[in-house]
Amino acid sequence: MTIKELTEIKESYIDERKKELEEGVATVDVHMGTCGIAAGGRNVFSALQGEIERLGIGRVKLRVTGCAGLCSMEPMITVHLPGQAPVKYGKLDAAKTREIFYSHVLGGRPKAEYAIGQGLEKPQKRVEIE
Amino acid sequence: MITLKVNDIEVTVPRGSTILQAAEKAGVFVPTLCHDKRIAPFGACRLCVVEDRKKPGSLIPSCFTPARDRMEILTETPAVLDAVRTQLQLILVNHPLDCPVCDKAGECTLQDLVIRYNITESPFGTERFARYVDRRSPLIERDMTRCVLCGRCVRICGELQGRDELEFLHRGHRTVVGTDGGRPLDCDFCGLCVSTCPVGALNDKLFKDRTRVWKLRQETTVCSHCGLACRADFHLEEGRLRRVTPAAASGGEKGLLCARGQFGWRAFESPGRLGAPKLRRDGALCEAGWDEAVGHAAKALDDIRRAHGAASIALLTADHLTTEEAAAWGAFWRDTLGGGPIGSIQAGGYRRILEILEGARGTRVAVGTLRDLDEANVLIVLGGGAAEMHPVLKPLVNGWMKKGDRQLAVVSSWPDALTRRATLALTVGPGLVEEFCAELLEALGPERINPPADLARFGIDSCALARLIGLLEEKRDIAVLVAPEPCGDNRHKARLAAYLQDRVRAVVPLGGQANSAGAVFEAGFTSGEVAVDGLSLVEAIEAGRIRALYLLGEDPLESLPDPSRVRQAMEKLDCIVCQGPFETAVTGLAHVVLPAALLHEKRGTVLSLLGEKRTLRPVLPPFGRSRPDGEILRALAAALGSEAVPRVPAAPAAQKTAIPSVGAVPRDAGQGMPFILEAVPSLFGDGILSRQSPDLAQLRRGLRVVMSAGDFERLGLAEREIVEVRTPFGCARAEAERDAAVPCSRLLLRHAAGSAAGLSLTRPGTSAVPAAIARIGT
Amino acid sequence: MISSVSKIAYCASRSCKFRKPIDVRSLLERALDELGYRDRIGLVETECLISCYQGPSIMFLPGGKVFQVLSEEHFTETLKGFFASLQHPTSPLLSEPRTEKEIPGIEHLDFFAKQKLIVLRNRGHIDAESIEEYIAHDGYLALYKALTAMTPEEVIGEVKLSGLRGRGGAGFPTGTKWEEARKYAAFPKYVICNGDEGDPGAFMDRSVMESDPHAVLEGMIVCGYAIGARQGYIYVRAEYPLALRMLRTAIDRAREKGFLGRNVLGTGFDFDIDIYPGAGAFVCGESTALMYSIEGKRGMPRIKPPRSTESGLWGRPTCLNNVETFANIPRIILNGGAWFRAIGTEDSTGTKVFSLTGAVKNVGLVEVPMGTDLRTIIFEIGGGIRGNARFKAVQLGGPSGGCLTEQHLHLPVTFDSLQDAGAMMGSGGVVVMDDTNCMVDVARFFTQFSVDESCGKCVPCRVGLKVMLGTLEKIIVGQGEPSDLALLERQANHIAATSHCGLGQAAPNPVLSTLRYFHDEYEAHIREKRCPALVCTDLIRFEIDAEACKRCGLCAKVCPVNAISWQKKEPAVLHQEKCIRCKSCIRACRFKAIH
Repeated sequence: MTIKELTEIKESYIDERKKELEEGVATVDVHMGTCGIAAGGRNVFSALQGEIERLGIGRVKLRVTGCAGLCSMEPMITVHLPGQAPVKYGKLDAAKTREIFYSHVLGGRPKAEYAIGQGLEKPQKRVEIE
Repeated sequence: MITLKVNDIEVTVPRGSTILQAAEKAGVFVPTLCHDKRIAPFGACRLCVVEDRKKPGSLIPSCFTPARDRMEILTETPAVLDAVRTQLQLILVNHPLDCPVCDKAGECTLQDLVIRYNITESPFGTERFARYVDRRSPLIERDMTRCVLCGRCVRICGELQGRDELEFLHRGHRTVVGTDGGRPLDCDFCGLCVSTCPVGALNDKLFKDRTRVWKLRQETTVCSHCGLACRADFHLEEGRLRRVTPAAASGGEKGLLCARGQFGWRAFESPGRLGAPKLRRDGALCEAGWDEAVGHAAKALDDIRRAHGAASIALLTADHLTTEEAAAWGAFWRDTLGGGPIGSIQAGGYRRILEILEGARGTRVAVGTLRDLDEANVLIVLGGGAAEMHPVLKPLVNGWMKKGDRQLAVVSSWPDALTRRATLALTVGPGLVEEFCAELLEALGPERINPPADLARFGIDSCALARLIGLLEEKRDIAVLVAPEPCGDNRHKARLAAYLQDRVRAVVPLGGQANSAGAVFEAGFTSGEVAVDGLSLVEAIEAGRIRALYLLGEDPLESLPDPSRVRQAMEKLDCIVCQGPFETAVTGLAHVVLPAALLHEKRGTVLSLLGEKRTLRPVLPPFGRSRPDGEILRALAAALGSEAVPRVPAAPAAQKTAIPSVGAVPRDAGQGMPFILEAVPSLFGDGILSRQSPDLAQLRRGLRVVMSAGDFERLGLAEREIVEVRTPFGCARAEAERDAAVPCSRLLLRHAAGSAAGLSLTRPGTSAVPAAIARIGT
Repeated sequence: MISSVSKIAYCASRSCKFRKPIDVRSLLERALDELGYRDRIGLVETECLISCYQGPSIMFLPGGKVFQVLSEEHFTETLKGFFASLQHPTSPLLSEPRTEKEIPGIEHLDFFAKQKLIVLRNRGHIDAESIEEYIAHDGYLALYKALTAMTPEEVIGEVKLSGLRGRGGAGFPTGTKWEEARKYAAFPKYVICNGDEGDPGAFMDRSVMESDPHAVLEGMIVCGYAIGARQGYIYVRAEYPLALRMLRTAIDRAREKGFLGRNVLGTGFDFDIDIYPGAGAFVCGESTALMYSIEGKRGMPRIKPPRSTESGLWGRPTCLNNVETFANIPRIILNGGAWFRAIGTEDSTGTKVFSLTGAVKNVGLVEVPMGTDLRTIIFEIGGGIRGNARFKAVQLGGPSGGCLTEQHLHLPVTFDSLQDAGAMMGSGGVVVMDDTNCMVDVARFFTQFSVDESCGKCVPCRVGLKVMLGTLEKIIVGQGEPSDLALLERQANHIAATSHCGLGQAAPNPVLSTLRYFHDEYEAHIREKRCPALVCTDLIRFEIDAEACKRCGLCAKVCPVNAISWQKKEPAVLHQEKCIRCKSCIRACRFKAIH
């Protein structure tokens, strides 16, 4: 692995994400650290996965990431829509998740009553944007 | 060297010493419980805490903290005393107050400390733990209710003996010392755990409930079960031996003993102990007076000498004579009796090796000492069974291996204790050690006949072989131990050792008995010519060359293979004189029986195999009417008259019977004998003395045959099942044992000495024979 | 364009309060029938599609455009109009997101804004199982720099300059440790990552291992390069199965890409990492016990000297560091030691991750520069005490740490600053307590933990802690005597002064600090046989104070054995003979009327 190859991996990753952005792919990060799972994160994940399958939608990407840090608000998800600031949601269950899915992920309208905040923590950034 | 103060006493110690060592040198007492000089410090009891004047308030455990230059240590400040007191009070929370029934009372470290620090109350309450008492193990009783969890037994068994039999189980306040699965002890029974336990948790069953320690008188003497001659303390109560413990570790003393020394002392009072001289009259042995018996023996010997020559009287010695006695006997045998052949069975291998070493050098050889062993950084062991013949070698080698980059190379045909510890194990096929040594010599010797790589055909990994040769050529500090095979010739390994003599730091032959070293080196108690050993003796008797046998503690019937042939030969003899402590099989054939005293009943010096000289005083009076061998000699010499008998010219050197080269081991004799059997030495002793102990017999459990786990299961055997062992030479019943380290299709035969059936399985000179196992009843 | 729609979703949320009574499904079916699209377009029932007071609504999929269904009449026309208004098939958005102004920015939330992420920089942001993502976020660049542009000595120099100190609690200067391990010329050498995290209430390391395992690996490989080791081990407690899985995946991916194994990054440096799971012993978090555990032996701390850097795993020079310590290394290498040094305080540089738990509103992981004071952590980041409770104490460092009170909240948190107050930062566990916590019970809890986890080697910890626990239990069941307090102090000091390892030396800290700051609570337990916090069951009288009782009847409702009788407008009455002392009533009562 040379520095060239390392840079290539990084760049090809960024390119893939950029393409997704252009295609308008929405990304939902489900925070499934042990705390998230214990609070019911798997239900949230299954709910999202279930809806995506039922609707046969291709432009929503579901990811599993680790704990976002605010464990008292688990289960949490972060919704990234192209052109919008990411929104963190907390204290979810399957029903609320489905609402967010339709309202925000598909419909572009964040659900304020379940949201914690928008934007990313300071050193974090979306590499394909910045 | 660094200098520091302990309680304002200035003391200088080598750099790296602990504070405890400095305090000891300064003569200051520091309490310890979990500390034992023979093993590494542990830091568990925290009683050894001291304070440094420059850092008041901080308690330092002194047993492992290195001393530093200009430290000012204080051992009795209020903080230290309070800590020690509290610690003792905490230990007493769980310790049962068994003092009235506990054997350790009077020599119990905990008791001594509680008295010294005046602990009279228990502010923390008491809570006796429901721990177990192991009464099922042989020889050692473990009362875990009294255990203070100092870890000394665990550490001494693991670090020194290398057995790891005991371990801490569970954790925290539930910790208890035990074996895996809670089974009874099944170890070497070296007794080191008992010797190290500071309280009454580990007890010697031979001593338990017998008497109180303050009624005992302690005498330091020497263990006579093997040639290492370890120092031992005999504890006597009004002239009766009550127990034996290792002499304390200090100065040059290692403080080690083995099962034979620690637990084999009841041999001294065994029913087989001879108390009175006997004469054969009308076919039966009857008691006689000393003068009568000695006179009779003298006359018989004189007659035979005049009739057939001095060379027709052979002497076999088990080397239980002091050096002074051996010298006298040697002189007597040569000058007065004319110098018939002198040999040994129990120490035969040792003497043979020495003979070859001297032959090679042409002068009296100086064998390695304990110091050579300590300072060498490579140990090469030629031959298996070294640590079985001399069990204390195990902790010695274990301790040696810990000190830095040490290599232990072992050439053996079976997985003995040292092979399992070796960093370089060269395991050859059964019975091939001698051949291997011969070829290795040719490969190394000046002629370089064969390339070393050829040696791989003995079954050795060629990488390991290359490493061995590399070690030999590297010119590091090497010590070579030579372990003789009991029934073998041993000449090739001896010759190899002889070749290496000039190229290594030291050579140490093994296999010697209590004072073999003294007899050979200092007393010259050997034949001028080739000594006799098992096979040549029997052949010489059969050929009529030997007509009388003087046995000093030896018994060919109990030690040589093919006992029926030996018996036939012995019955041909004109005269057999048995001079020894015990009645054994040959006593039944003896014409004169002269009861001899044991080493610890005599005065004199002995020399150990590792060059340590010991001076002995009688610790016990000779048993019954037995006498020291030196006294018997004086009587014998007197009876023979002191006229200078013209020395009969030495008979032409008896042709040393060529013992068949071991390469001619008959492989599967085609009669369905899929195993190859080798007789191996026993940890619990094959000598007559060890076999007289009922306690060691309990550990031996009779003839034993050891096989691989796979073979054991394939045969469908149960634990300790008795099976029938058959070889082309004989048949015997033995207890089957499984051992994961034994290769497939191999059998190790233990405890054959003393068992006619066991001895019948092999032949002299053949160290490996084909064998078959059959279940009894099938 | 109609062809861009494959399904129509309609909300059928039964809990929707604003739903007009319209049967959307039949409406759609009829309309689609009339338009002739019935076969081509599927119907999907869903939950709420939009903010509730705008329901019912339908959404065109896959585009996601939402339309409200305001009336049933002329629905077919309406539907046709909706179709026509569709623009580009992939245009997903509707009108402007209405509620952007209602959702606060993260930078305005104290919990996030006041943190400074170095160790946790990737938290929740990357897929831990994807090495590409880690690389895309500047992963393995530090390794690259270290291996190709720096000598091992320079790496050590940078770490020393940074002032990084061990994050596992002991705070030993990391650069110095690496330097020591480098200097001994005995091989092979080992790098060990301590992921045993046994403190109850601490989960910082778990989070790093689960969310950003590659950061740990990168730190370890750099360490291996610096000291001359070829093998690393991560000791992870078996109670962290997700962390074990993530690390295993990460190691596999790293090996595939050539960051582990032979010839790392083509520089000729070999390094590999294996995982060793623990077996359930807290004491195996102590470094020498941990090494014995990896060797397959009993986990009991050994005597020192020699130090592990000289003779550790299998008697070889070993460098053991905490997960968090390693996670800091990549940033230190990339940004330089001076950058790290500028954060935090002079002798405690960089940041520290705390697991903030207990009675705070915002429970979670907090990473702040060293020197941040407790008040900021608890009341700003933590959001203060939850419910209507009051702050009572904060416990730092788990069973090895002490507690602090309100008067200490101004203290900065660093390695050394809390010692005079009788506490220590420890590995980062911060447990906040309110007035429903009994400090004697807290001391007992931590002492019980240490008793269970003691290895049993040395007398003061094995016996002393148990005796101390016995005294505490005595006090808690109401058999305490005045002399017990002096006894406790004596026992605690003895254990702390003479124990063999950190477990025992620090185990009395909870007792000592609660004795120091909550002496009156102990006194109440002993002299008045009363537990002010209403935790110690034997010291609760279970009587209802009729004057304080607000007659709400809640206690009677929650009592599982109907031991409380209550009538409207009357104070409740507790019948002692039926009471099982479960304390449900005490927890339910909002007026503290039950004692």
